[in-house]
Amino acid sequence: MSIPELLQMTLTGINLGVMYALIAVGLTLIFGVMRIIQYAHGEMYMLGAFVLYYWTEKFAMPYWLGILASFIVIFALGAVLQIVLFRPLQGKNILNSLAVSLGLVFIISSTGQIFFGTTVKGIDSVVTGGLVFGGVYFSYERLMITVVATIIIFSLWVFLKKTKMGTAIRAVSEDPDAAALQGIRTQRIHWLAFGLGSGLAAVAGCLMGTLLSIVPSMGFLATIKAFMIVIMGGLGSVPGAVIGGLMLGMIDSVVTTTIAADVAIIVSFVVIFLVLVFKPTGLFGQKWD
Amino acid sequence: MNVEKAQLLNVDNLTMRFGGLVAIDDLSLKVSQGEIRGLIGPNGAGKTTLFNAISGRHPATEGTIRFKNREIQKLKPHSIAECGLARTFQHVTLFKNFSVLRNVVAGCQLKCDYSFWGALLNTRDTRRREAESEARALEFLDFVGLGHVAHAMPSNLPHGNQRTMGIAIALASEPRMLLLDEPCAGMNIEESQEMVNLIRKIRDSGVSVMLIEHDMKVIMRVCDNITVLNFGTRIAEGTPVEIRENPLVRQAYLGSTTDVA
Amino acid sequence: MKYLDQIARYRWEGLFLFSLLFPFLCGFDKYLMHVAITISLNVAMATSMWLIWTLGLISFAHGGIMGIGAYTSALLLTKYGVPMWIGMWVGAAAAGLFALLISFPLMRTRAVYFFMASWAIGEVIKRNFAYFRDFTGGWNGVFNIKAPVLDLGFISLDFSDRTAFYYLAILVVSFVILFIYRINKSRTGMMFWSIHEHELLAQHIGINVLKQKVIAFTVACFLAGLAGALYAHYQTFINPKSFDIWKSEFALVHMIVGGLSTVGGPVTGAILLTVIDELLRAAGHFRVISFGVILIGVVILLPGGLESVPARIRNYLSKDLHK
Repeated sequence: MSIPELLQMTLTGINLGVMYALIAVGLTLIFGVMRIIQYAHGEMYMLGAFVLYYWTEKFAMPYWLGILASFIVIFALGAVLQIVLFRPLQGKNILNSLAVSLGLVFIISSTGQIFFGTTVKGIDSVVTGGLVFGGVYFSYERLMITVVATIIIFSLWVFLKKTKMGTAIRAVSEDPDAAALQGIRTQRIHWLAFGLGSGLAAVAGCLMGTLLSIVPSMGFLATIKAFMIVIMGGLGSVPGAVIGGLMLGMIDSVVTTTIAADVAIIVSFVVIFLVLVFKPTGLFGQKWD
Repeated sequence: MNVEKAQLLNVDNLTMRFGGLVAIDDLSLKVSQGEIRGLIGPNGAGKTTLFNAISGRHPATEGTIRFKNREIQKLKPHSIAECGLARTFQHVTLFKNFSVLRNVVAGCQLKCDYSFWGALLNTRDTRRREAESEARALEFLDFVGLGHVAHAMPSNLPHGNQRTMGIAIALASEPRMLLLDEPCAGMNIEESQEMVNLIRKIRDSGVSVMLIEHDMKVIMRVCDNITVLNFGTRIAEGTPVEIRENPLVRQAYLGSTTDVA
Repeated sequence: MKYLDQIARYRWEGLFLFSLLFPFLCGFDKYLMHVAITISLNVAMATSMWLIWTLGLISFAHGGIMGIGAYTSALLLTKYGVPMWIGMWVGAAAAGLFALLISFPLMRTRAVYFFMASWAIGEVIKRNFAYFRDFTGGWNGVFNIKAPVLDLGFISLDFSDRTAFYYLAILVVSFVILFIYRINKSRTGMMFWSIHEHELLAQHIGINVLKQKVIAFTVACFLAGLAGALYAHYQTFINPKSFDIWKSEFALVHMIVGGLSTVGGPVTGAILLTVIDELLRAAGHFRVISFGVILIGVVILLPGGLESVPARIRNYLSKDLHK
């Protein structure tokens, strides 16, 4: 393989990796705070993309505003779902949350098929073109998306580390009882975290919306990837999700380029399985009981 | 009169390290057959950690633990239970959705002679064995004084009874030695006295006991010997009278509200 | 307690009798017997997943495991002419062996990690079926998996006849249910539930938790593989898509809606939901939506599933009587 090809592959890997990280980070947040399985996380990603689609294509509103709108809408949806469906399950076995979120997958993806139709849609790119440098093609759009996603992830990190609310979220994630004793309103943190996590997935959907075709069934693949990353990185660990995302993006890029696209997902699963064998709680995970 | 009683449990130079923290530092102790040994010390002294090491919950970092002359420090908890070492836990540890009786039957399963194929075919032999298990479980419940609530659900029992249940479950595996972790926690004077009687009864039935307790009255009353830990090491060992007089022990407890008397 | 056991026994006997008479009752209707066969296979999947649940584990590898049984039996027939009577047991054994091998790394993981790891395994299996194109037919799958003909001399049974296959399916499924029921009632079952209830305590009373998890997983996957083999010879063609996450998801739904305390739960759930699924077949997307609604409804409004209904009715009636 030549150097430019290697660089191209690496670039694609980073691009993919950051996107994956963005989806995964939302999921790990939900896990960490509520200790539930949110099997419908990919559906939030899908809905986010569709909100943007309708915003830009049907209502002809500006792209960037659309991403914000999508975040807000899906954040609200996530919060409502948490309060209505997941709060009653508090304290119960994790199977319950899996079941409810599975039910949501059924409902959301099928409703999506009905309302959005099955024709493939796309969102027009806001930025086109690129430049060739050293034999490597730098697409402006992909660069922009990567930069935006990185900024968002970084902002999340700052939010969690430095702000009062972010610290509260981390507290509940580490020790819900201690957090409650400190006067943190855990119920409120729950729907906030769920909304935030879902909103981040929605933004990921928006960003991917210009690159990929948008279909109501696109949620499932996002769910698989998000779960794989979160498991590998460790449930509840944001750095784990980021590193896991980048690793997965790299694997996908490398394997697709060198062998075949089909094999990429097999390799990712094998890698994740191996990580779990040596570190049963993921790279940065805590023990769960 | 036995000149030297058999050493049932031998802990030699045990060290337990968790990451950077040394919870137990080069600890040695021996417990004889038929003994009731008390284990006391301030909070964080390493008492429960010692139990965890002996019962196999956490592997020993260094040192050896011998039970009935067999090295057990590398064994998993279930193997150690098979050797005849049972324990209770600091917090109430039960099968919440099993009835009281079923909890103890579960404890019995270790000693129950079992044929997998017999169970599959539901032979008369299997049914007889199952009935025997239930009868034996009931005996253990009677032994600890809970026979009358055999069919209740544990969550309906008062806290003290739940702790006693834990003891019944441990006894059901017919151990030679029982580790009791704060059996009197949350008990009033009457309940503690009943526990003292129970512990004596357990020892008289052939089961040696090692117990962690913060209630000094109980310790002084029931133990043959006491080992005192602080900062993961043994600072004193002896009879209750000796321990009471020991200045090092008083010093260790200085500032705590526990009265060493 | 004994009274309730008797009622349960009557229910099971009634169900079995009904299944034996079913072809006669429905006039040998091919479609209805097809539904019944589908129900049987779903019951096998749901109950075997339930067996794993009795230890507190959720395995999403089930679809893939079913596929191992199916592909093994199918390929043995199409490539080497091995009859189904042998092939289906080899298929089940292959699934069981795979489960056994994968158990050792898998059982080191806990709870959610286990779920995810098992999901990964299921997905990898499915994709491997597709990847080894030359051997397994890739995404196109395997065709012409004929059901066998049993020649007993005085009578010849062609199992491609729906009625014949129906009875075969009933026979196999009854065996599966009985087997799982007896394991659950035995000391092994008690060990499983003890692990489910409190793994730490179970360890300390002498239960080799790892060994029991491996046993449960292996046995359950063996049974799923058996169901898969039957499935292959019934459908006469299989492809990787038949063994994807939907199979595991449906088994989970059947299990949860039916109830989780006894083996009767997944049986009830599988029967009821397969029937509903068939009734809604024409409704397109609403079919899947209904499943979602039922699932969420049961979890939130009827915890304990359908098998908790008789007890609830009894409680309600006895409260009424005390007024």
